[in-house]
Amino acid sequence: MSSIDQMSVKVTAIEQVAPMIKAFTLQPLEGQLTPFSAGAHVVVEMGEGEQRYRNAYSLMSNPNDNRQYQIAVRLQEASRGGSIYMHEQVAVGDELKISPPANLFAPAWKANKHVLFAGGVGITPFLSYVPVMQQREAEFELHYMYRSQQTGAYSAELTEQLGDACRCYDADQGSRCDIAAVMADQPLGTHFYICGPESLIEAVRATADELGIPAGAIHWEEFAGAKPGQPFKVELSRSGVELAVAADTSLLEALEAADIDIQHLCRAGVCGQCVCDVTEGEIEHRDSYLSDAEKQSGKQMMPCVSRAAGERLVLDI
Amino acid sequence: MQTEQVNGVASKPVYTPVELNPKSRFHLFIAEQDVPVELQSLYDRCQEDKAVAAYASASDAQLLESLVTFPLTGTLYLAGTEPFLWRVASHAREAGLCSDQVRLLAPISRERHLFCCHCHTITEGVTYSPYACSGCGAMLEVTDHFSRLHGAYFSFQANAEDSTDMPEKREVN
Repeated sequence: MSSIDQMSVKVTAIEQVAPMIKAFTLQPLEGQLTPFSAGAHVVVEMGEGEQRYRNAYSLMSNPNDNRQYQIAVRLQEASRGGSIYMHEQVAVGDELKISPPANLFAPAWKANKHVLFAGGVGITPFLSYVPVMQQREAEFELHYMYRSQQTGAYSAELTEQLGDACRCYDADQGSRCDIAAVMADQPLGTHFYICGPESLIEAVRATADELGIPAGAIHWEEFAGAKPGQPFKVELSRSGVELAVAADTSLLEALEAADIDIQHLCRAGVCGQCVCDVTEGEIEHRDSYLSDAEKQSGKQMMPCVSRAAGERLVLDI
Repeated sequence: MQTEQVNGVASKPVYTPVELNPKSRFHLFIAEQDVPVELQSLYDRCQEDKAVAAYASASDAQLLESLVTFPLTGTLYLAGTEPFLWRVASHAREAGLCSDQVRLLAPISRERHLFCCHCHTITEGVTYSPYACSGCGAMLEVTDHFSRLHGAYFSFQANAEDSTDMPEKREVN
């Protein structure tokens, strides 16, 4: 179980907001939900018994509204099952367990201007930014890239609500965002935010580097969680327990399935909460938390996304 | 900015050698009084759009003015005493510069500004500890806890249990 208290919520509405995206409205079984800050996410626990998933989803509802949370889930057919479960198994009236909100993608409020790049379902954290930025009268522009045959939720509403501050680029209509043109000539104090696939994050970071925009002005959130890999065995030296980690299970999930309590927040290799000490075995590092030197030392790993490079790992747990 | 841990204290700034930022499209060099050799050498090597300013005694208005047209793709280089470096860095932060856009040369003197936690006065030109507060007169123990906002080191009444028994005077660097 998670070391952070989970809360139970009821699914009160499910809406197909794009061909591949469903939006879920979650309400508390009793009382009120805790307020959250723009850019926060929750970890949703799904499934029962052997087949359990925990995926992080950005809260896209208004942060000032503590009656309900909303999340959006893109169906990832090649994924390890969490999004398929949400799309196929979860119905209105069902109860789900979620973590309290945590935020690893808050706006830099000192910025003079905010430029938001969303790719597909990566629009979700920005939906919670928008009402707060409007309330604070912050200057911002949203560049929303999607494929209307798959994603593109809320593009009409955003365009209507934000006018020129929202630019939509539908790749299925041949519309592309010229990232360099957007980033060039922005005023001092502009900060840039990216949520979307890795390719979009890389493209924006590379453009910033080329233009001479400081790295400190670039913020991103990857929505990709653990990706499958080769199966391996893990030995826990303190308890003597040995576990098998299947190809489509993350090490963190395997530990949790064995009732081993590991702190976590993002489950995406970003926050650093779940770091584990490794005493034996080669690691395939997939996180963006550990420094290059720490990765090379081979003494620590992030079990939420990283795996064994060989057949076996020994953890100091 | 430079925040390596020194002597177990995380907040005392560490000044590493400054290089030109090869990615920047504009470079601004500001010196507190005379332009030191290191800053001049960076300026001379800079091939890009550049400007240099040296202030005998810069007012806040002058410093802010120099940042008005500063671009998002620029880098700022500062030379002078430690309080000056961080005063300008504070203005730069207010103007919207990221910390990686501001490069500080090692301070030209080891004199510290001291922030008194009792009366909040900042005492200038401090080179040893304990040191009399220019505000309340308390003999202050000088620490290595540095405030980037105030450009000053935190200090408190030395040997508060018995302030008639002062610790031996020591140089701070």
